[in-house]
Amino acid sequence: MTADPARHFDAFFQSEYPRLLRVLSSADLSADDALQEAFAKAALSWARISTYEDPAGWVRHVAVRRLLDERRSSRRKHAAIERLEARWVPDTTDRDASMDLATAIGELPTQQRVALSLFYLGGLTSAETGEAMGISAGAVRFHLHEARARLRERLAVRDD
Amino acid sequence: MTDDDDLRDGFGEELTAALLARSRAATTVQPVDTVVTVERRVHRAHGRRRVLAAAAAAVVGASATAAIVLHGHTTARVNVAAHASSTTASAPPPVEPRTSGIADWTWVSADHGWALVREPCGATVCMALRETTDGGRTWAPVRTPALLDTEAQSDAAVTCATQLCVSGVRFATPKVGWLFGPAFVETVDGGRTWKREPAPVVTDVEASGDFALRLTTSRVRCTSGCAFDVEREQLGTGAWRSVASSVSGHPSLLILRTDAYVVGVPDLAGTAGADLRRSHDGGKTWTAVADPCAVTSAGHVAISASEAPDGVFVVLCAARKKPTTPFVRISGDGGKTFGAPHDVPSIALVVRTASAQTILIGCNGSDTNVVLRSTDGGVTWRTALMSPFPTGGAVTLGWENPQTARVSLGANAIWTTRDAGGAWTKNAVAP
Repeated sequence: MTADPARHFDAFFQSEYPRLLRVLSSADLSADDALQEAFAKAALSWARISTYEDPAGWVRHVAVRRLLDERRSSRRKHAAIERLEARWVPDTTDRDASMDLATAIGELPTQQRVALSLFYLGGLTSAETGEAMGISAGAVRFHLHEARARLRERLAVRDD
Repeated sequence: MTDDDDLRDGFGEELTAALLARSRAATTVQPVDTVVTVERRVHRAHGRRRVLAAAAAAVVGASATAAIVLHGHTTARVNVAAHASSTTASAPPPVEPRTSGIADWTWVSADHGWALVREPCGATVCMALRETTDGGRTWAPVRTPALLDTEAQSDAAVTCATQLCVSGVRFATPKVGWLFGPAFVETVDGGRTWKREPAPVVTDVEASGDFALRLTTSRVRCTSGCAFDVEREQLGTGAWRSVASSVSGHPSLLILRTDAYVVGVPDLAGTAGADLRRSHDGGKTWTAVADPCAVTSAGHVAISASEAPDGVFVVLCAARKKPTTPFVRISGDGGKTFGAPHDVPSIALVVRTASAQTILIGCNGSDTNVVLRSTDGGVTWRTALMSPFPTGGAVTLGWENPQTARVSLGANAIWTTRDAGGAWTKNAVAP
Protein backbone atom coordinates (compact mmCIF):
# COMPACT_ATOMS: atom_id res chain seq x y z
CA MET A 1 0.00 0.00 0.00
CA THR A 2 1.21 3.51 -0.68
CA ALA A 3 2.16 5.66 2.30
CA ASP A 4 -0.31 8.33 1.21
CA PRO A 5 -3.87 7.12 1.89
CA ALA A 6 -5.28 9.99 -0.14
CA ARG A 7 -3.48 8.86 -3.23
CA HIS A 8 -4.37 5.28 -2.48
CA PHE A 9 -8.06 5.98 -2.32
CA ASP A 10 -7.80 8.13 -5.40
CA ALA A 11 -6.25 5.27 -7.31
CA PHE A 12 -8.79 2.85 -5.92
CA PHE A 13 -11.65 5.08 -6.94
CA GLN A 14 -10.35 5.64 -10.45
CA SER A 15 -9.70 1.98 -10.90
CA GLU A 16 -12.88 0.55 -9.47
CA TYR A 17 -15.63 3.08 -10.02
CA PRO A 18 -15.95 2.72 -13.81
CA ARG A 19 -15.86 -1.04 -13.59
CA LEU A 20 -18.46 -1.29 -10.83
CA LEU A 21 -20.64 1.31 -12.50
CA ARG A 22 -20.60 -0.65 -15.73
CA VAL A 23 -21.71 -3.83 -14.00
CA LEU A 24 -24.31 -2.37 -11.68
CA SER A 25 -25.85 0.06 -14.15
CA SER A 26 -26.74 -2.90 -16.33
CA ALA A 27 -28.96 -4.04 -13.47
CA ASP A 28 -30.31 -0.69 -12.36
CA LEU A 29 -30.22 2.59 -14.22
CA SER A 30 -29.84 4.46 -10.94
CA ALA A 31 -26.83 2.40 -9.90
CA ASP A 32 -24.56 5.44 -9.91
CA ASP A 33 -26.50 6.77 -6.95
CA ALA A 34 -25.95 3.64 -4.90
CA LEU A 35 -22.37 3.30 -6.05
CA GLN A 36 -21.41 6.86 -5.15
CA GLU A 37 -22.90 6.38 -1.74
CA ALA A 38 -20.89 3.22 -1.29
CA PHE A 39 -17.68 4.97 -2.31
CA ALA A 40 -18.45 7.84 0.02
CA LYS A 41 -18.76 5.35 2.88
CA ALA A 42 -15.51 3.76 1.82
CA ALA A 43 -13.78 7.13 1.79
CA LEU A 44 -14.94 7.91 5.29
CA SER A 45 -13.58 4.64 6.63
CA TRP A 46 -10.73 4.20 4.20
CA ALA A 47 -8.07 3.55 6.86
CA ARG A 48 -9.98 0.43 7.86
CA ILE A 49 -11.44 -0.66 4.54
CA SER A 50 -8.14 -0.35 2.72
CA THR A 51 -6.81 -3.14 4.92
CA TYR A 52 -9.49 -5.53 3.76
CA GLU A 53 -8.51 -8.28 1.40
CA ASP A 54 -11.00 -7.03 -1.19
CA PRO A 55 -11.97 -3.36 -0.74
CA ALA A 56 -13.74 -3.39 -4.07
CA GLY A 57 -15.81 -6.32 -2.90
CA TRP A 58 -16.81 -4.32 0.15
CA VAL A 59 -17.93 -1.38 -2.00
CA ARG A 60 -19.77 -3.72 -4.33
CA HIS A 61 -21.55 -5.33 -1.41
CA VAL A 62 -22.61 -1.96 0.03
CA ALA A 63 -23.80 -0.72 -3.35
CA VAL A 64 -25.72 -3.89 -4.11
CA ARG A 65 -27.36 -3.87 -0.70
CA ARG A 66 -28.30 -0.27 -1.34
CA LEU A 67 -29.84 -1.26 -4.67
CA LEU A 68 -31.76 -4.11 -3.10
CA ASP A 69 -32.94 -2.13 -0.11
CA GLU A 70 -36.69 -2.38 -0.38
CA ARG A 71 -37.31 0.51 1.94
CA ARG A 72 -35.89 2.82 -0.68
CA SER A 73 -37.17 1.04 -3.73
CA SER A 74 -40.25 3.13 -4.25
CA ARG A 75 -38.44 6.44 -4.06
CA ARG A 76 -35.67 5.15 -6.26
CA LYS A 77 -38.08 3.77 -8.75
CA HIS A 78 -39.53 7.20 -9.39
CA ALA A 79 -36.06 8.64 -9.75
CA ALA A 80 -35.11 5.84 -12.05
CA ILE A 81 -38.08 6.51 -14.29
CA GLU A 82 -36.94 10.10 -14.65
CA ARG A 83 -33.43 8.94 -15.41
CA LEU A 84 -34.77 6.41 -17.79
CA GLU A 85 -36.43 9.09 -19.82
CA ALA A 86 -33.36 11.24 -19.75
CA ARG A 87 -30.79 8.60 -20.51
CA TRP A 88 -32.21 5.49 -22.03
CA VAL A 89 -32.52 6.47 -25.63
CA PRO A 90 -32.12 3.28 -27.61
CA ASP A 91 -30.83 3.69 -31.10
CA THR A 92 -33.78 2.65 -33.17
CA THR A 93 -31.51 1.86 -36.06
CA ASP A 94 -29.78 -0.75 -33.97
CA ARG A 95 -32.66 -2.75 -32.59
CA ASP A 96 -30.93 -6.06 -32.76
CA ALA A 97 -31.54 -9.10 -30.65
CA SER A 98 -29.16 -7.83 -28.04
CA MET A 99 -31.24 -4.72 -27.48
CA ASP A 100 -34.43 -6.74 -27.32
CA LEU A 101 -32.82 -8.86 -24.68
CA ALA A 102 -31.59 -5.73 -22.92
CA THR A 103 -35.14 -4.43 -22.78
CA ALA A 104 -36.43 -7.75 -21.48
CA ILE A 105 -33.79 -7.77 -18.76
CA GLY A 106 -35.15 -4.44 -17.58
CA GLU A 107 -38.48 -6.10 -16.91
CA LEU A 108 -37.03 -8.67 -14.52
CA PRO A 109 -37.27 -8.37 -10.74
CA THR A 110 -34.38 -6.48 -9.18
CA GLN A 111 -32.85 -9.56 -7.54
CA GLN A 112 -32.66 -11.34 -10.86
CA ARG A 113 -31.25 -8.33 -12.69
CA VAL A 114 -28.54 -7.81 -10.09
CA ALA A 115 -27.66 -11.49 -10.13
CA LEU A 116 -27.39 -11.45 -13.93
CA SER A 117 -25.22 -8.33 -13.92
CA LEU A 118 -22.79 -9.52 -11.29
CA PHE A 119 -22.54 -13.04 -12.66
CA TYR A 120 -22.34 -12.33 -16.38
CA LEU A 121 -21.09 -8.80 -16.84
CA GLY A 122 -19.11 -8.72 -13.61
CA GLY A 123 -17.67 -12.15 -14.23
CA LEU A 124 -18.21 -13.22 -10.61
CA THR A 125 -18.91 -16.76 -9.52
CA SER A 126 -22.25 -17.58 -8.01
CA ALA A 127 -20.57 -17.65 -4.59
CA GLU A 128 -19.08 -14.18 -5.10
CA THR A 129 -22.38 -12.90 -6.44
CA GLY A 130 -24.13 -14.30 -3.39
CA GLU A 131 -21.62 -12.63 -1.12
CA ALA A 132 -22.33 -9.28 -2.74
CA MET A 133 -26.08 -9.79 -2.55
CA GLY A 134 -26.12 -11.26 0.92
CA ILE A 135 -27.61 -14.57 -0.22
CA SER A 136 -26.27 -18.07 -0.79
CA ALA A 137 -24.64 -19.29 -3.98
CA GLY A 138 -27.54 -21.67 -4.44
CA ALA A 139 -29.99 -18.81 -4.23
CA VAL A 140 -27.97 -16.94 -6.86
CA ARG A 141 -28.13 -19.89 -9.24
CA PHE A 142 -31.85 -20.12 -8.61
CA HIS A 143 -32.27 -16.46 -9.54
CA LEU A 144 -30.12 -16.96 -12.62
CA HIS A 145 -32.07 -19.99 -13.80
CA GLU A 146 -35.34 -18.17 -13.15
CA ALA A 147 -34.15 -15.11 -15.04
CA ARG A 148 -32.94 -17.15 -17.99
CA ALA A 149 -36.17 -19.08 -18.20
CA ARG A 150 -38.22 -15.90 -18.03
CA LEU A 151 -36.12 -14.19 -20.67
CA ARG A 152 -36.30 -17.15 -23.02
CA GLU A 153 -40.04 -17.20 -22.56
CA ARG A 154 -40.43 -13.49 -23.27
CA LEU A 155 -38.17 -13.58 -26.29
CA ALA A 156 -40.07 -16.57 -27.65
CA VAL A 157 -43.36 -14.70 -27.26
CA ARG A 158 -41.96 -11.71 -29.15
CA ASP A 159 -40.68 -13.92 -31.92
CA ASP A 160 -44.15 -15.36 -32.33
CA MET B 1 -17.02 -28.68 -14.23
CA THR B 2 -18.38 -26.32 -11.56
CA ASP B 3 -21.99 -25.59 -10.79
CA ASP B 4 -21.60 -22.28 -12.63
CA ASP B 5 -20.34 -23.69 -15.89
CA ASP B 6 -23.74 -24.74 -17.18
CA LEU B 7 -24.81 -21.10 -16.90
CA ARG B 8 -21.91 -19.84 -18.99
CA ASP B 9 -23.18 -21.05 -22.33
CA GLY B 10 -24.18 -19.41 -25.57
CA PHE B 11 -27.23 -17.79 -24.01
CA GLY B 12 -24.93 -16.48 -21.30
CA GLU B 13 -22.90 -14.79 -24.03
CA GLU B 14 -26.06 -13.15 -25.33
CA LEU B 15 -26.94 -12.02 -21.85
CA THR B 16 -23.50 -10.50 -21.38
CA ALA B 17 -23.90 -8.55 -24.60
CA ALA B 18 -27.35 -7.34 -23.60
CA LEU B 19 -26.16 -6.30 -20.16
CA LEU B 20 -23.30 -4.43 -21.75
CA ALA B 21 -25.74 -2.62 -24.01
CA ARG B 22 -27.81 -1.61 -20.98
CA SER B 23 -24.71 -0.47 -19.15
CA ARG B 24 -23.45 1.63 -22.03
CA ALA B 25 -26.81 3.30 -22.41
CA ALA B 26 -26.97 4.11 -18.72
CA THR B 27 -23.45 5.28 -17.92
CA THR B 28 -23.29 8.78 -19.25
CA VAL B 29 -21.77 10.37 -16.16
CA GLN B 30 -18.29 11.70 -16.75
CA PRO B 31 -15.67 10.62 -14.21
CA VAL B 32 -14.89 14.15 -13.13
CA ASP B 33 -18.55 14.81 -12.36
CA THR B 34 -18.67 11.64 -10.36
CA VAL B 35 -15.72 12.69 -8.25
CA VAL B 36 -17.40 15.96 -7.46
CA THR B 37 -20.58 14.11 -6.53
CA VAL B 38 -18.76 11.81 -4.17
CA GLU B 39 -16.98 14.73 -2.57
CA ARG B 40 -20.27 16.48 -1.96
CA ARG B 41 -21.79 13.38 -0.42
CA VAL B 42 -19.01 13.10 2.06
CA HIS B 43 -19.06 16.77 2.86
CA ARG B 44 -22.77 16.51 3.52
CA ALA B 45 -22.30 13.58 5.84
CA HIS B 46 -19.14 14.76 7.59
CA GLY B 47 -18.47 18.38 6.96
CA ARG B 48 -14.95 18.37 8.28
CA ARG B 49 -13.76 15.34 6.38
CA ARG B 50 -12.60 15.44 2.84
CA VAL B 51 -12.82 12.79 0.25
CA LEU B 52 -9.59 12.17 -1.46
CA ALA B 53 -10.84 11.07 -4.82
CA ALA B 54 -9.71 14.11 -6.67
CA ALA B 55 -8.50 13.34 -10.12
CA ALA B 56 -10.68 12.08 -12.88
CA ALA B 57 -9.68 9.09 -14.87
CA ALA B 58 -7.70 10.06 -17.88
CA VAL B 59 -9.82 10.16 -20.95
CA VAL B 60 -7.82 9.79 -24.07
CA GLY B 61 -9.14 11.06 -27.33
CA ALA B 62 -9.74 8.71 -30.18
CA SER B 63 -7.41 10.07 -32.76
CA ALA B 64 -4.54 7.69 -32.98
CA THR B 65 -3.13 8.65 -36.30
CA ALA B 66 0.53 7.89 -36.05
CA ALA B 67 1.88 5.13 -38.18
CA ILE B 68 2.53 2.28 -35.84
CA VAL B 69 3.83 -1.16 -36.38
CA LEU B 70 3.01 -3.50 -33.59
CA HIS B 71 4.52 -6.88 -33.15
CA GLY B 72 4.04 -9.44 -30.52
CA HIS B 73 3.70 -12.81 -28.95
CA THR B 74 6.22 -15.16 -30.27
CA THR B 75 6.66 -12.74 -33.12
CA ALA B 76 3.22 -11.98 -34.43
CA ARG B 77 2.93 -8.66 -36.14
CA VAL B 78 0.13 -6.22 -36.84
CA ASN B 79 0.45 -3.20 -39.05
CA VAL B 80 -2.27 -0.80 -38.06
CA ALA B 81 -0.95 2.28 -39.73
CA ALA B 82 -3.79 2.45 -42.20
CA HIS B 83 -6.60 1.94 -39.77
CA ALA B 84 -5.48 3.30 -36.44
CA SER B 85 -7.70 6.35 -36.70
CA SER B 86 -10.66 4.14 -36.26
CA THR B 87 -13.25 6.45 -34.86
CA THR B 88 -12.60 9.39 -37.11
CA ALA B 89 -13.06 7.47 -40.34
CA SER B 90 -10.69 9.88 -41.98
CA ALA B 91 -7.33 9.16 -43.56
CA PRO B 92 -4.36 9.55 -41.24
CA PRO B 93 -2.12 12.51 -41.96
CA PRO B 94 1.03 11.91 -43.98
CA VAL B 95 3.74 10.39 -41.87
CA GLU B 96 7.39 10.97 -42.52
CA PRO B 97 9.30 7.73 -43.05
CA ARG B 98 11.05 6.69 -39.90
CA THR B 99 14.77 6.48 -40.35
CA SER B 100 15.54 4.68 -37.13
CA GLY B 101 13.86 2.31 -34.76
CA ILE B 102 13.13 -1.37 -34.61
CA ALA B 103 10.96 -2.67 -37.42
CA ASP B 104 10.66 -6.21 -36.13
CA TRP B 105 12.33 -8.84 -33.99
CA THR B 106 12.33 -12.57 -33.50
CA TRP B 107 13.55 -14.89 -30.77
CA VAL B 108 14.28 -18.60 -30.72
CA SER B 109 15.05 -18.60 -26.99
CA ALA B 110 15.15 -16.12 -24.13
CA ASP B 111 18.75 -15.27 -25.08
CA HIS B 112 19.00 -15.75 -28.83
CA GLY B 113 17.24 -13.29 -31.10
CA TRP B 114 17.45 -10.99 -34.10
CA ALA B 115 16.23 -7.43 -34.66
CA LEU B 116 15.53 -5.71 -37.94
CA VAL B 117 16.41 -2.03 -37.57
CA ARG B 118 16.08 0.99 -39.85
CA GLU B 119 19.10 2.92 -41.06
CA PRO B 120 19.23 6.04 -43.24
CA CYS B 121 20.90 5.34 -46.58
CA GLY B 122 20.99 8.16 -49.07
CA ALA B 123 17.52 9.40 -49.91
CA THR B 124 15.75 6.38 -48.52
CA VAL B 125 15.77 4.03 -45.54
CA CYS B 126 17.52 0.68 -45.42
CA MET B 127 17.14 -2.26 -43.12
CA ALA B 128 19.89 -3.91 -41.13
CA LEU B 129 19.82 -7.15 -39.19
CA ARG B 130 21.28 -7.50 -35.69
CA GLU B 131 21.76 -10.65 -33.64
CA THR B 132 22.03 -11.19 -29.90
CA THR B 133 22.93 -14.30 -27.96
CA ASP B 134 22.81 -12.78 -24.48
CA GLY B 135 19.19 -11.78 -24.18
CA GLY B 136 19.56 -8.39 -25.86
CA ARG B 137 22.42 -6.96 -23.81
CA THR B 138 24.76 -6.86 -26.81
CA TRP B 139 24.05 -7.00 -30.54
CA ALA B 140 26.20 -7.83 -33.55
CA PRO B 141 25.50 -7.04 -37.22
CA VAL B 142 24.47 -9.88 -39.51
CA ARG B 143 25.44 -9.73 -43.16
CA THR B 144 22.49 -9.68 -45.54
CA PRO B 145 21.83 -8.60 -49.10
CA ALA B 146 21.05 -4.87 -49.43
CA LEU B 147 17.63 -4.38 -47.84
CA LEU B 148 15.22 -1.47 -48.20
CA ASP B 149 12.53 -0.51 -45.71
CA THR B 150 9.25 -1.22 -47.47
CA GLU B 151 7.37 1.38 -45.47
CA ALA B 152 9.78 4.12 -46.51
CA GLN B 153 9.18 3.64 -50.24
CA SER B 154 6.75 6.14 -51.67
CA ASP B 155 5.95 3.73 -54.48
CA ALA B 156 6.75 0.37 -52.97
CA ALA B 157 4.99 -1.51 -55.75
CA VAL B 158 7.57 -0.19 -58.22
CA THR B 159 10.65 -0.06 -56.03
CA CYS B 160 10.14 -3.43 -54.42
CA ALA B 161 9.56 -5.14 -57.76
CA THR B 162 13.25 -4.79 -58.48
CA GLN B 163 14.87 -4.29 -55.10
CA LEU B 164 14.79 -6.27 -51.90
CA CYS B 165 12.24 -4.62 -49.62
CA VAL B 166 11.47 -6.15 -46.24
CA SER B 167 9.62 -5.23 -43.10
CA GLY B 168 9.88 -8.34 -40.94
CA VAL B 169 12.23 -11.04 -39.71
CA ARG B 170 11.45 -14.46 -38.32
CA PHE B 171 13.62 -17.38 -37.24
CA ALA B 172 12.20 -20.85 -36.65
CA THR B 173 15.47 -22.25 -35.32
CA PRO B 174 18.96 -20.82 -34.80
CA LYS B 175 19.64 -21.82 -38.40
CA VAL B 176 16.41 -21.38 -40.36
CA GLY B 177 14.93 -17.93 -40.78
CA TRP B 178 13.32 -15.49 -43.19
CA LEU B 179 13.26 -11.82 -44.08
CA PHE B 180 9.93 -10.86 -45.57
CA GLY B 181 7.36 -8.24 -46.46
CA PRO B 182 6.93 -8.18 -49.45
CA ALA B 183 10.11 -10.05 -50.51
CA PHE B 184 10.82 -13.49 -49.10
CA VAL B 185 14.43 -14.32 -48.33
CA GLU B 186 15.53 -17.49 -46.56
CA THR B 187 18.59 -18.59 -44.65
CA VAL B 188 19.28 -22.14 -43.52
CA ASP B 189 22.66 -21.47 -41.94
CA GLY B 190 21.89 -18.92 -39.26
CA GLY B 191 22.21 -15.90 -41.53
CA ARG B 192 25.57 -16.58 -43.16
CA THR B 193 23.94 -16.94 -46.58
CA TRP B 194 20.55 -15.78 -47.86
CA LYS B 195 18.50 -16.85 -50.83
CA ARG B 196 15.55 -14.95 -52.30
CA GLU B 197 12.68 -17.34 -52.83
CA PRO B 198 10.26 -16.91 -55.71
CA ALA B 199 7.03 -16.14 -53.94
CA PRO B 200 4.09 -13.81 -54.08
CA VAL B 201 3.97 -10.95 -51.61
CA VAL B 202 4.61 -12.37 -48.14
CA THR B 203 3.27 -10.23 -45.32
CA ASP B 204 3.81 -12.41 -42.26
CA VAL B 205 5.61 -15.57 -41.22
CA GLU B 206 5.39 -17.58 -38.01
CA ALA B 207 6.93 -20.90 -37.02
CA SER B 208 6.50 -23.44 -34.26
CA GLY B 209 8.06 -26.83 -33.80
CA ASP B 210 8.45 -28.48 -37.19
CA PHE B 211 6.21 -26.25 -39.27
CA ALA B 212 5.86 -22.67 -40.44
CA LEU B 213 2.97 -20.59 -41.76
CA ARG B 214 3.04 -17.54 -43.96
CA LEU B 215 0.50 -15.08 -45.34
CA THR B 216 0.67 -14.33 -49.03
CA THR B 217 -1.18 -12.02 -51.37
CA SER B 218 -0.74 -10.58 -54.83
CA ARG B 219 -0.16 -6.87 -54.18
CA VAL B 220 2.37 -4.90 -52.17
CA ARG B 221 -0.15 -2.24 -51.17
CA CYS B 222 -3.59 -3.32 -50.04
CA THR B 223 -5.25 0.01 -49.49
CA SER B 224 -8.41 -1.18 -51.22
CA GLY B 225 -8.25 -4.63 -49.71
CA CYS B 226 -6.47 -7.84 -50.59
CA ALA B 227 -7.30 -11.51 -50.29
CA PHE B 228 -4.67 -13.48 -48.43
CA ASP B 229 -3.74 -17.14 -48.44
CA VAL B 230 -2.31 -19.03 -45.49
CA GLU B 231 0.49 -21.29 -46.63
CA ARG B 232 2.17 -24.03 -44.62
CA GLU B 233 5.63 -25.53 -44.82
CA GLN B 234 6.94 -28.62 -43.10
CA LEU B 235 10.26 -27.17 -42.01
CA GLY B 236 13.13 -28.18 -44.19
CA THR B 237 11.07 -29.20 -47.20
CA GLY B 238 10.98 -25.78 -48.85
CA ALA B 239 7.49 -26.56 -50.13
CA TRP B 240 4.74 -24.16 -49.15
CA ARG B 241 1.16 -25.24 -49.79
CA SER B 242 -2.05 -23.30 -49.29
CA VAL B 243 -4.11 -24.36 -46.27
CA ALA B 244 -6.60 -21.46 -46.10
CA SER B 245 -7.65 -18.82 -48.57
CA SER B 246 -9.56 -15.55 -48.98
CA VAL B 247 -8.51 -14.12 -45.66
CA SER B 248 -9.66 -10.51 -45.57
CA GLY B 249 -8.57 -7.35 -43.78
CA HIS B 250 -5.03 -6.76 -42.58
CA PRO B 251 -4.16 -10.23 -41.33
CA SER B 252 -1.44 -11.46 -39.04
CA LEU B 253 -0.51 -14.87 -37.68
CA LEU B 254 -0.29 -16.18 -34.14
CA ILE B 255 1.24 -19.54 -33.29
CA LEU B 256 1.73 -21.30 -29.99
CA ARG B 257 2.77 -24.93 -30.33
CA THR B 258 0.11 -26.46 -32.60
CA ASP B 259 -2.49 -23.74 -31.97
CA ALA B 260 -2.55 -21.10 -34.67
CA TYR B 261 -4.76 -18.11 -35.39
CA VAL B 262 -5.21 -15.69 -38.25
CA VAL B 263 -6.41 -12.26 -37.17
CA GLY B 264 -7.71 -10.27 -40.13
CA VAL B 265 -8.24 -6.73 -38.86
CA PRO B 266 -10.86 -4.91 -40.96
CA ASP B 267 -10.62 -1.38 -42.23
CA LEU B 268 -12.35 0.51 -39.44
CA ALA B 269 -13.70 3.05 -41.86
CA GLY B 270 -15.66 0.26 -43.52
CA THR B 271 -18.33 -2.09 -42.31
CA ALA B 272 -16.75 -5.53 -42.53
CA GLY B 273 -16.05 -7.49 -39.37
CA ALA B 274 -12.77 -9.03 -38.36
CA ASP B 275 -11.78 -12.24 -40.13
CA LEU B 276 -10.70 -14.57 -37.32
CA ARG B 277 -9.75 -18.18 -37.88
CA ARG B 278 -8.20 -20.81 -35.67
CA SER B 279 -6.39 -24.09 -36.14
CA HIS B 280 -5.55 -26.63 -33.49
CA ASP B 281 -3.60 -29.02 -35.71
CA GLY B 282 -0.60 -26.95 -36.65
CA GLY B 283 -2.32 -25.00 -39.38
CA LYS B 284 -3.54 -27.95 -41.42
CA THR B 285 -7.24 -27.19 -41.02
CA TRP B 286 -8.98 -23.96 -40.07
CA THR B 287 -12.32 -22.90 -38.64
CA ALA B 288 -13.83 -19.43 -38.48
CA VAL B 289 -14.21 -17.64 -35.15
CA ALA B 290 -17.05 -15.14 -34.76
CA ASP B 291 -15.71 -11.71 -33.89
CA PRO B 292 -16.16 -11.57 -30.10
CA CYS B 293 -16.04 -7.78 -30.20
CA ALA B 294 -19.31 -7.44 -32.10
CA VAL B 295 -21.40 -7.06 -28.96
CA THR B 296 -21.98 -3.31 -28.88
CA SER B 297 -23.91 -0.72 -30.80
CA ALA B 298 -20.63 1.18 -31.28
CA GLY B 299 -19.55 -1.36 -33.85
CA HIS B 300 -16.56 -2.76 -31.99
CA VAL B 301 -14.30 -5.06 -33.98
CA ALA B 302 -11.19 -7.02 -33.17
CA ILE B 303 -8.01 -5.07 -33.93
CA SER B 304 -5.51 -7.32 -32.20
CA ALA B 305 -5.35 -10.70 -30.55
CA SER B 306 -2.91 -12.82 -28.65
CA GLU B 307 -2.69 -16.34 -27.35
CA ALA B 308 -1.13 -18.00 -24.32
CA PRO B 309 -0.88 -21.56 -22.98
CA ASP B 310 -3.94 -23.49 -21.82
CA GLY B 311 -6.18 -22.22 -24.58
CA VAL B 312 -6.01 -18.57 -23.60
CA PHE B 313 -6.97 -16.25 -26.45
CA VAL B 314 -7.33 -12.52 -25.81
CA VAL B 315 -8.94 -10.12 -28.24
CA LEU B 316 -8.62 -6.34 -28.19
CA CYS B 317 -11.71 -4.54 -29.45
CA ALA B 318 -11.94 -1.03 -30.89
CA ALA B 319 -15.06 0.94 -31.75
CA ARG B 320 -16.11 2.30 -35.10
CA LYS B 321 -18.25 4.98 -33.46
CA LYS B 322 -18.99 6.36 -30.03
CA PRO B 323 -18.77 5.23 -27.30
CA THR B 324 -15.17 4.68 -28.26
CA THR B 325 -13.87 2.87 -25.21
CA PRO B 326 -11.79 -0.12 -26.28
CA PHE B 327 -12.03 -3.32 -24.33
CA VAL B 328 -10.59 -6.81 -24.14
CA ARG B 329 -12.34 -10.16 -24.00
CA ILE B 330 -10.62 -13.32 -22.87
CA SER B 331 -11.25 -16.88 -23.93
CA GLY B 332 -9.99 -19.84 -21.97
CA ASP B 333 -11.02 -22.43 -24.52
CA GLY B 334 -9.19 -21.41 -27.64
CA GLY B 335 -11.71 -18.87 -28.85
CA LYS B 336 -14.90 -20.91 -28.53
CA THR B 337 -16.36 -18.72 -25.78
CA PHE B 338 -15.30 -15.40 -24.29
CA GLY B 339 -15.67 -13.74 -20.90
CA ALA B 340 -17.16 -10.35 -20.15
CA PRO B 341 -15.57 -7.26 -21.74
CA HIS B 342 -13.10 -5.26 -19.68
CA ASP B 343 -12.47 -1.64 -20.62
CA VAL B 344 -9.01 -0.46 -21.57
CA PRO B 345 -8.29 3.11 -20.43
CA SER B 346 -6.49 4.43 -23.48
CA ILE B 347 -6.10 4.17 -27.23
CA ALA B 348 -5.03 0.57 -27.28
CA LEU B 349 -3.67 -0.83 -30.50
CA VAL B 350 -2.13 -4.16 -29.71
CA VAL B 351 -2.56 -6.81 -27.04
CA ARG B 352 -0.07 -9.47 -26.03
CA THR B 353 -0.81 -11.88 -23.23
CA ALA B 354 1.25 -14.19 -21.06
CA SER B 355 -1.76 -15.82 -19.46
CA ALA B 356 -5.42 -15.18 -18.78
CA GLN B 357 -4.32 -12.84 -16.00
CA THR B 358 -1.17 -11.08 -17.20
CA ILE B 359 -1.73 -8.94 -20.27
CA LEU B 360 0.21 -6.14 -21.93
CA ILE B 361 -1.34 -3.56 -24.20
CA GLY B 362 0.47 -1.14 -26.46
CA CYS B 363 -1.13 2.30 -26.67
CA ASN B 364 -0.48 5.41 -28.67
CA GLY B 365 -1.24 8.84 -27.30
CA SER B 366 -0.80 12.16 -29.05
CA ASP B 367 2.83 12.39 -28.04
CA THR B 368 3.65 9.25 -26.13
CA ASN B 369 3.73 5.54 -26.56
CA VAL B 370 2.55 3.64 -23.53
CA VAL B 371 2.44 0.04 -22.47
CA LEU B 372 -0.21 -0.91 -19.93
CA ARG B 373 -0.19 -4.06 -17.85
CA SER B 374 -3.02 -5.93 -16.22
CA THR B 375 -2.43 -8.72 -13.75
CA ASP B 376 -6.08 -9.48 -13.12
CA GLY B 377 -7.34 -10.48 -16.52
CA GLY B 378 -7.96 -6.98 -17.83
CA VAL B 379 -10.07 -5.72 -14.95
CA THR B 380 -7.55 -3.06 -13.93
CA TRP B 381 -4.64 -1.55 -15.82
CA ARG B 382 -1.45 0.21 -14.76
CA THR B 383 1.23 1.88 -16.80
CA ALA B 384 4.20 -0.43 -17.27
CA LEU B 385 6.25 1.76 -19.58
CA MET B 386 5.86 5.20 -21.06
CA SER B 387 8.15 7.04 -23.42
CA PRO B 388 7.73 10.36 -25.19
CA PHE B 389 8.01 9.89 -28.91
CA PRO B 390 6.69 13.05 -30.49
CA THR B 391 7.17 12.12 -34.13
CA GLY B 392 5.01 9.05 -33.93
CA GLY B 393 6.87 5.82 -33.58
CA ALA B 394 6.47 2.14 -33.22
CA VAL B 395 5.42 0.12 -30.24
CA THR B 396 6.73 -3.40 -30.43
CA LEU B 397 5.92 -5.89 -27.73
CA GLY B 398 5.78 -9.60 -27.14
CA TRP B 399 6.17 -12.37 -24.60
CA GLU B 400 8.84 -15.04 -24.84
CA ASN B 401 7.45 -16.98 -21.90
CA PRO B 402 5.12 -16.19 -18.97
CA GLN B 403 7.85 -14.18 -17.23
CA THR B 404 9.85 -12.63 -20.05
CA ALA B 405 8.48 -9.88 -22.24
CA ARG B 406 10.10 -7.32 -24.47
CA VAL B 407 8.98 -3.88 -25.53
CA SER B 408 10.28 -1.26 -27.92
CA LEU B 409 8.77 2.20 -27.72
CA GLY B 410 10.07 3.52 -30.99
CA ALA B 411 13.80 4.00 -30.50
CA ASN B 412 16.62 1.53 -31.13
CA ALA B 413 16.26 0.01 -27.69
CA ILE B 414 14.52 -2.94 -26.15
CA TRP B 415 13.03 -3.01 -22.69
CA THR B 416 13.01 -6.45 -21.11
CA THR B 417 11.18 -7.76 -18.09
CA ARG B 418 11.89 -11.12 -16.52
CA ASP B 419 9.26 -10.90 -13.79
CA ALA B 420 6.12 -10.59 -15.92
CA GLY B 421 6.24 -6.83 -16.20
CA GLY B 422 7.22 -5.70 -12.72
CA ALA B 423 10.72 -4.43 -13.49
CA TRP B 424 12.19 -3.48 -16.86
CA THR B 425 15.73 -3.05 -18.11
CA LYS B 426 16.75 -1.19 -21.25
CA ASN B 427 19.32 -2.26 -23.82
CA ALA B 428 20.32 -0.49 -27.01
CA VAL B 429 20.12 -2.55 -30.19
CA ALA B 430 22.54 -0.64 -32.41
CA PRO B 431 26.05 -2.09 -32.08
